[in-house]
Amino acid sequence: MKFLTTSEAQQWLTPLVATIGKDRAIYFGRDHIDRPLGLKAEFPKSLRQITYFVERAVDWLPRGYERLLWISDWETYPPHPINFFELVRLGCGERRHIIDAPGCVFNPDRGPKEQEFSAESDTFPLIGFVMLLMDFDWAGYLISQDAASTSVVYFNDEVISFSTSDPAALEEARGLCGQFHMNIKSQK
Amino acid sequence: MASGEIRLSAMTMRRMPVLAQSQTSQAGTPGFGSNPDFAGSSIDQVSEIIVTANAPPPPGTPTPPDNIPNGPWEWNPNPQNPRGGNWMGPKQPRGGRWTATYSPPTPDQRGYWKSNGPDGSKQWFDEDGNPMTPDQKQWQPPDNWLPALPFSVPSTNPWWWFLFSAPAY
Repeated sequence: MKFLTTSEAQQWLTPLVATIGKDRAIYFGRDHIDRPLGLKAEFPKSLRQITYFVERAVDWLPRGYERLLWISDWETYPPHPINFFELVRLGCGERRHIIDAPGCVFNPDRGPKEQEFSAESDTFPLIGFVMLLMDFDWAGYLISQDAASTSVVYFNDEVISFSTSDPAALEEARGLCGQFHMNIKSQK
Repeated sequence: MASGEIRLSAMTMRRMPVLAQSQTSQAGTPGFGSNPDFAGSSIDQVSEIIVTANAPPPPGTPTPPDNIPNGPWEWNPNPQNPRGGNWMGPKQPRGGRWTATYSPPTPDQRGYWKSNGPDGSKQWFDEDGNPMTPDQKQWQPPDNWLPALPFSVPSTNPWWWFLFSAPAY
């Protein structure tokens, strides 16, 4: 696990032809816009469901590639969410504020696709960070560095978006949303 | 010291007579400063002056429309905030305040306001402050948009855009 500044995250995104905008949103190149399939769904209804769902959403990303969690929007009021979040980061060895290092790269999960749970130790904090992000109603991207599929999970305003160029992965995302009784808002 | 405060101690004012003089000259009555509470007092009898001011939001930051409820909204700067601060409503008897945040338009969504309540509730508003549902954040095709064509056309062909694109108004 390694926390990244905006410029370091931008460098990580370069092979994916993606850029970080002034609004901290990530913009993908023309190639990505033309290819990927997408699915948007409302968050699961209960916190307990979110705990299980996030583990599945992280597991949805392709195996064997680094994963970037990019926080694109967060609140500083009320103060307890950001203070707690930064305390957790401190526990992971990161002393900088979110605004100074909004990205975090996690080691690849190299386990088999059919594994019950990930054995990669970096996966646990990644799941935890995404859970907090969803609970705090912040916005963020979870991105695989697999340029072939450019798989992205985006969380914002109680809506989760999956995008990929792999039809089988999109089908898997649809099944995942169905399993958690999530209201699918759009798909392409 | 609270955010946006400047404190002038008596020693500072003695060392900066121009500053102290400017305070004195504003007084309508003899004494120190324009506040009638200070009438008849001298600079030596005041230990410090606290000047408070609300820092303006960063350039380009939109102001919440007046019709968004739970205002009036006051800018509260915070360097840790991705927007440079928060628009905050009045202090409540207990607990937190209402806040309002603006999300600029993206290729996917129109610009909109979201207000967050101290009870965790959320409300969405368009850029004019009219209430809207979260689904209305998505761009909607205008009423005069051409209906879907019954055949596929190569969207990369510039002639397609010339012939079939929507008017730019």
